[in-house]
Amino acid sequence: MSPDDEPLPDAQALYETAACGLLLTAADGTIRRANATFCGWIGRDADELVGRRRLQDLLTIGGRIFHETRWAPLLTMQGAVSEIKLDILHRDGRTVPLLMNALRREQRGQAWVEVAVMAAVDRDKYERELLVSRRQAEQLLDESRQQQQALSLAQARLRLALESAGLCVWGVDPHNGERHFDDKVAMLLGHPAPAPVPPQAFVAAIAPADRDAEAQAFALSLSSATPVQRWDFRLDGVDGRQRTISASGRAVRDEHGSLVQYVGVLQDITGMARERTQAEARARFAEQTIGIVSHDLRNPLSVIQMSGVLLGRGELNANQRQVLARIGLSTERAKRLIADLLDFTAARLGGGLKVVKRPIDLHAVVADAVEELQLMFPGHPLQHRSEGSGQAAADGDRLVQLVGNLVANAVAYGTPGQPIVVASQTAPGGFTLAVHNQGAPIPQDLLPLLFEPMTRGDGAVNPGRSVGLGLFIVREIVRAHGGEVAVSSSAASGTVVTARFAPPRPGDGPAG
Amino acid sequence: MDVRRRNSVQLSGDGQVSLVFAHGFGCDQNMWRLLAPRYAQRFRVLLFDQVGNGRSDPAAYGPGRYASLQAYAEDLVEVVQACADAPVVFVGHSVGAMIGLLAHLQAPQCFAAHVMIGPSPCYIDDGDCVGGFSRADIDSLLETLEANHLGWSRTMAPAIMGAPDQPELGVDLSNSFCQTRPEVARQFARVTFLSDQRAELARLDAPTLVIQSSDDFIASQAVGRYVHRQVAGSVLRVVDNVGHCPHLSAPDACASAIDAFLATLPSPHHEPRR
Repeated sequence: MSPDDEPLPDAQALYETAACGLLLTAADGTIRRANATFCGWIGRDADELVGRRRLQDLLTIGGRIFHETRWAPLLTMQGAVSEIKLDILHRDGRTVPLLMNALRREQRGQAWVEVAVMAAVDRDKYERELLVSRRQAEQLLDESRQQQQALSLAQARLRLALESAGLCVWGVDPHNGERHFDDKVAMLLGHPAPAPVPPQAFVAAIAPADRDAEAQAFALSLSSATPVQRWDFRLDGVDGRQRTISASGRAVRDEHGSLVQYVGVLQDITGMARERTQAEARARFAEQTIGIVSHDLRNPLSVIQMSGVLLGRGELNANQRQVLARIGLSTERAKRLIADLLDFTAARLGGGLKVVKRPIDLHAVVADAVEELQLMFPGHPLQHRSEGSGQAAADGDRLVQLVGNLVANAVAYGTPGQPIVVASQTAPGGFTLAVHNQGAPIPQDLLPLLFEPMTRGDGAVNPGRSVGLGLFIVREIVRAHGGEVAVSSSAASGTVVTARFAPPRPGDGPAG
Repeated sequence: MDVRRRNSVQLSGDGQVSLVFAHGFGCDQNMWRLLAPRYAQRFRVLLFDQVGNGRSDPAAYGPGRYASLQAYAEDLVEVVQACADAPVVFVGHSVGAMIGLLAHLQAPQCFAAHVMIGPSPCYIDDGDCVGGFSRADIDSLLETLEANHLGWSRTMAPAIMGAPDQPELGVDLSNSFCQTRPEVARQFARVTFLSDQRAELARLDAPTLVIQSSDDFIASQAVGRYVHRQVAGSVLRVVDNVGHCPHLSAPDACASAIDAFLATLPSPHHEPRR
């Protein structure tokens, strides 16, 4: 029997069970024929489809829009579309990804469309994975591009910052340990323009007196665990000028301790060093002058005061007594001012005020001070509140001065007639002194500056003090005792300055 | 910048009036191949591709610029100003019609009348405008576009499949047809289907013809009636057609609707042409 005689499936059977779905639709998409393969894939009988549905009715909404905007016009224009992947709705509600080719034919004015359909489940899955990977790759690429942009921006900024700050970069070659320098370092060596600088030329230019110290500092920075080392030295330039250079450097080492990278900057601080020295000298001279003048003023003042006392012993009429009392008060004020100035110069130039700590009864000391202050400021009722045993170790005279300054301040800025409260409190954790007054609050931006010398509250007129040294001296007294001072101020609760004194340490002798 | 090259402008025909044809999402100026040639006898005909589509200059596209329809409208104004002599009757398909609307509001002096084929000012259902779609539907379209990544840029050559009874189509089309980069198609789809021109529609003050297909999944008859209501004095013509592209599947009906509309327009002042 020859192969030709073998019974083969007829065309109809071939069509129905072909290895792909086959459809025939009208030009408007109405299904005219659908083979068993296609019907099986989407779970429907041919009867449900033929004459009843259009191919586009079987698509998802997104597929339908695609069909209308792309498939249909392309099919009309070019007669065919190929490899279109669309989801078709299965009878049970799920979607089946199908790959389709379509061909438009026309005969005797009648148009129809032949569609071949391949199941694309695995391909669809694979392509989705590809798309996800592609998107990830694109995202990574995008991120890396952004990072590169940020990096080049940072580098440009760094260059600008280095240039405007007059900084030169240098480093160490991790392989041979030799220093290498920015070409601009040549200008630190007195050359007119940037040029390569060999490490030997740099070392040779270091002033002989600084050479050893520089070498040691550099070696320390190479080995040191601290992040950044900084050291200064002088360079003798080829132009005959000497420059003061500040160098800094940081070594980065790997986990085995090997040098991976070393970066540093060099800065010409010749101008800065000179200006700083000059400024310091000016300030020291001014403060010394204040000290000397203040000291010298004390003698004539004492003479004035003594003379007043002598005059008071004689016969005086009421008018003369009033004048004499004014002389006495003004002399007293001038002496206080001089005492403040001397304390100020001592604090600025002598490294802080001197205090002598002794065991005292804090409450008694404060009570005496408040009593005296009340006589000086009759317009402001003073109240003293005490809490605790009163035992404290402190310089009593300095505390009287402190309370005096704080009360004078409260008088100056507080509402007249409102009580000023002085609170002394002792506890095992140390002691505190606080002075509280009602009145307009101190502006917030002034608070951090309040204890700096020459700072004064807004618009206040204080006949008792001409320069703002009072609170500066308060802070210095508290610091000399190892304590700290703080201020809080608001419209609702007024202003309170609180000095907190640390507890005396065991074996704390008189401080010097 | 060369506007002609950017939008691959094609000029043909001669007459007193310019007809400017604008394609919508999914294709390019080839869409007009069954309609535009009929008018070249009597009109100056201008065809162009929206940037990102067809043979437009790929370098002109930037996702930042083309993030809204306004950029397409600006392009259109430039095309009309550079290449079309007044008076201009604008013929836009689908989102192309909306681009024409925005262009008109940008430069009313450039446009004498509008023909809108299958327009929709808002695809997503909202209030009194039933666009017919939900946000999820548009997302599903974007997914479909993703799945057909290849088909957009690759040649969809009929020669491969063969179109034996239409060999004349095979020749000049085998090269490029409605090509666009996938990411451009995706963004154009998003911009198109998420846009909302309802407020602008009511501001259109020009003779307008709305050509509505009897059965259009993208722009239903309700949408066509909405557009007709919103544009004062507009004419609505429903043509017997299934699908969103009546100018391809029912070109005769479209042409007769357009001809009737053009006849109602005042004839242009005659100026000697140089």
